[in-house]
Amino acid sequence: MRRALNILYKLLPHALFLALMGMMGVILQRGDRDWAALRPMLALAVLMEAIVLLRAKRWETAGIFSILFGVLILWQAYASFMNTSVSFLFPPPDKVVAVLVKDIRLILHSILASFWLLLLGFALAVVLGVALALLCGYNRRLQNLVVPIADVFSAIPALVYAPYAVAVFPSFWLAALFVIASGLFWPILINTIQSINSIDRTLLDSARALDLNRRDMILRILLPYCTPGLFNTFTMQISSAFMLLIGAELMGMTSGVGWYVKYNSDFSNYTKVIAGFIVIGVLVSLVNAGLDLLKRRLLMWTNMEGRA
Amino acid sequence: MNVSSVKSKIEVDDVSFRYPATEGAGKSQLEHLSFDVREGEFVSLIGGSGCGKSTTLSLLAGLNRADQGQVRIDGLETHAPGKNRGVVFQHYALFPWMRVRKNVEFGIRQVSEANKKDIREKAERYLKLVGLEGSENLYPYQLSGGMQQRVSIARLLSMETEILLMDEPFGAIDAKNRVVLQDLLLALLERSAKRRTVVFVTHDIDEAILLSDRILFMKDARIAETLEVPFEHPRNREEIVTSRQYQEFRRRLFNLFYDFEGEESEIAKGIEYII
Ligand SMILES: Nc1ncnc2c1ncn2[C@@H]1O[C@H](COP(=O)(O)OP(=O)(O)O)[C@@H](O)[C@H]1O
Ligand SMILES: [Mg+2]
Repeated sequence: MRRALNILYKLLPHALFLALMGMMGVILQRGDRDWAALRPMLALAVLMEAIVLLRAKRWETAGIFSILFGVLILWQAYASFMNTSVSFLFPPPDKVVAVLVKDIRLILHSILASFWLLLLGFALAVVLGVALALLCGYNRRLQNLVVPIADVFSAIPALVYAPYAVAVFPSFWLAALFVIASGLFWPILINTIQSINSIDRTLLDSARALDLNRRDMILRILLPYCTPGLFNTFTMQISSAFMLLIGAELMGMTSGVGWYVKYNSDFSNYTKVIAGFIVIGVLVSLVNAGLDLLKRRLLMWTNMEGRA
Repeated sequence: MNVSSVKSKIEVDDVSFRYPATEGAGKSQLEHLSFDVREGEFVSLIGGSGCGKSTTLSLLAGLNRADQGQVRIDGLETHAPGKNRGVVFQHYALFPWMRVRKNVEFGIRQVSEANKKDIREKAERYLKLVGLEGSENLYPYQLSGGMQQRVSIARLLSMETEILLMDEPFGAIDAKNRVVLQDLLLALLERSAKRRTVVFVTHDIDEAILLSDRILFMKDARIAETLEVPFEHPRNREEIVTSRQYQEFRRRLFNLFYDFEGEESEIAKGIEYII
């Protein structure tokens, strides 16, 4: 019984793949689309099937892809075969996939624009936040001055600066950069000051005993010491950074994935709007994966399993 | 020995010191401490825990500053770390983000202008000496406490500084490796071309006798007793340990260290209290 269920589970994605292909056949037969228009969707389905075959060993593969195929089938069926009055609101998946392929240059450009803005915001916040935190580490008085200010400012959601920033900065892009950077700056500053304050006494003595110059003390000791805390802050702040980014792009930017969605909504091109959702999902996943990879590389020296 | 022919390397002159955190609470951590260490001499500090041995070493290292009195090195007052001194701490203090090899190289780099390749070779040679061949590419968290301490010993030795400040360096190391490392240190110092001055903190009486020229017994924030160790260099563990002189000297030190009368009455009181 168990075995039979298991076999059924493994076969399910293949059956659904065939069903989807069958559906595409019907659509072709009826003449709704020609072969060229349907090609991207067919390619996607075949690609997914190939992944199922390649990763057949992993238990979760069959489940994940069954769900994906299932969603595509239901969506395609609803959009193509039910004649609803609001069909422009529910474009069929094959059209969305076709748009993703057709618009690929613009989409890649949008992804790069968003990524660049985000990266610049992060870099700005890290450089300024860490530099100020280091100064505070060397100067108690400055620290006593900065910490209360940072406590207040970090409590204000950076989004509220947005309208004012738009008024102040010469371009919307600069305003968006400012909002993203300031959303990250305060948490990074506070966290890094705390890191430096709590540096292990023996470690610090060990470094001091080597009579390091200021530069080595900062680059070789304090910075590496602060990286785990920095990455913790990144992980905690990344979702709010995305909110700020997409929010800024929706409001008035002229590039980026958020802009792509907003621009096409204005023309009621919901096929492209839905494609935009997918693109945003991909961008967020990519950035998260990149951050994870970077963390793995840079924090190899921490006992990650032990700390969990 | 003609005293005037060997100059003082380290002079501790009427030094008092208190940690700021203990302001207003009881005695200072060091009170009117005075002693000299001659160039090329090996001096051990022994004494009960909390008597101020590590604190004394931190002042010699320049990590803390005397509130009163002076610490002089080569006749010059000092209150900052310097490239002429190397330190091994009681609690092994490796940099966790550097691999074992890098930890040692980093120390050498601070005191030497040698090129990358030479530094690397030197680091590897010293790591091999302390028995850590094959662990060069591990991170500190992947080593046991004793192994980490051996890395910091390798770092200190590889820096080849004029002055070595060692705070219970072998305390966390297993018995077998401890013997190996004591012999290694002894041999390195005896054969070194440069005369190296060592201040060594330990609570191991036998270790102190085997390694030192002089033993300073610390008690209550000051030096209570100074003992010259009656053995010539080069030393041989086997010969020393089996000699009668050793037994006598050891007993003297032992009585100092454990201060039997006081200790026993404390224990007796404690037991009475429990019963
Ligand atoms: N960083 C510190 N702050 C305050 N008190 C300290 C500090 N380090 C050591 N002490 C105190 O100073 C005294 C001497 O300590 P220490 O020199 O470490 O002793 P030892 O090494 O002989 O065991 C102890 O009473 C200890 O509690
Ligand atoms: Mg100590």
